[in-house]
Amino acid sequence: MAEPALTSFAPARSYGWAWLVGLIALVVLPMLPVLLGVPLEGEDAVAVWVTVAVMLPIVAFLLVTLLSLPAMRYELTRDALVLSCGPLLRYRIPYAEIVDVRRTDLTPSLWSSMRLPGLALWAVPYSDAGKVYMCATRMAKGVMLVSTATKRYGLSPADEDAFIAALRMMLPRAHA
Amino acid sequence: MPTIVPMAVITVVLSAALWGAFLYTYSGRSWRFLALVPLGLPLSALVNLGVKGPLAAGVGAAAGIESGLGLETPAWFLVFLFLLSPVFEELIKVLPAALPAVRRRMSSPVDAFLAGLALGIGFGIGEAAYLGWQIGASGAYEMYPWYAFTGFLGERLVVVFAHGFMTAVFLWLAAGKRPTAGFLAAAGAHAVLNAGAMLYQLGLAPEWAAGLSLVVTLIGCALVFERIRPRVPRASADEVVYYHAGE
Repeated sequence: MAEPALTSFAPARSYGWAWLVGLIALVVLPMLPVLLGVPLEGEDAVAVWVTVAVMLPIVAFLLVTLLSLPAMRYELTRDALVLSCGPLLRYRIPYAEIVDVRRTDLTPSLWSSMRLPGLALWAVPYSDAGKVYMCATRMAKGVMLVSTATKRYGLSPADEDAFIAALRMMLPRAHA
Repeated sequence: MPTIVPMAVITVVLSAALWGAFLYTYSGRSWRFLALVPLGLPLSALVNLGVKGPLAAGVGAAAGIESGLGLETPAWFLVFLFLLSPVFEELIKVLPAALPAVRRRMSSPVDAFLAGLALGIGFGIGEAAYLGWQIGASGAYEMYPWYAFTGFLGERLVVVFAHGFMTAVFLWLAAGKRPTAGFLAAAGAHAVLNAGAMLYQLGLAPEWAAGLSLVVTLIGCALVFERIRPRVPRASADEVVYYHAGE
């Protein structure tokens, strides 16, 4: 059972959803012959149906991601900071484990991950910070990084000052 | 209008946006190297129409070799044709480095790497436009609707990075007083990238193998790139520490 939140913060607004829509459109493109009822024969038919079989799960996943974005929240419970994005992800960071909180710019690496301008989810490899568990409406610039001894988390609260003020109240031996 | 045109436009715009942002980020969020990208744009058309095409036709005519012979083509001519792209494309991509304005931006191996990345990205984007024009002009694919060319989009998108990588390596090694090694590394990588397609065209490998060969080589390029690329500090740092435990 999820622990009750004392306060909840929304992420900063961004156009990450638009990039996600564009990505979905790109993935749907190869499936258009099927969707438009274009008559297919022989190797063309095989190729298109194989493409559909591969792309359909990807489209479903991207659609679920898109529909989950409005549910992105940063909650301060009694014992932990919880980053969540609907049913997709939930990171629970106990206050006792937090060693560093900073706002910084990150450099994405070449490796594939769920990161688009204005959106970053799950584990994203960054060239400078290493693997960061993201739940943010920013990909690189102005990301708030919360670090424990073993992991880093990225978020992007809309009201950063209020979030930091609330978080500081919960952290042990606050220093800055 | 040829049916490939909309997809060619999408490919060029997407490639420019993606790899332009990539270059901007990796150069420490500086516009200095992004300004070099346009220099590479016309070079693919230039080398194809002005060098590779005439050379292939001229040497073939001089040797009395007909086109379209496939595996019956003399081996030396096949090798000659295969090497045209790696050799002349890698050479023309670094040609803008002779310009004073470009040389001023290459004061160190790090800068040379980034300048090469920019010139190669420009070449790749121009190549996508040129190939789109070639495919459209040939009329061979007019039976396909514009959205059937997603293979073109996917391939060109990643090849733009490959061109950037190869030219970056060339200029990086050249700035380190090893221009021959740089050229051989770039041309060698280019040859490996093209090998699968060449074997497929000769009927020596199935189409899927050519695609797989390209993917594997690109992954190799990405691995090497991540290993050798310079770590450039951001032009303007913006970091605020809110909390640090224990101090």
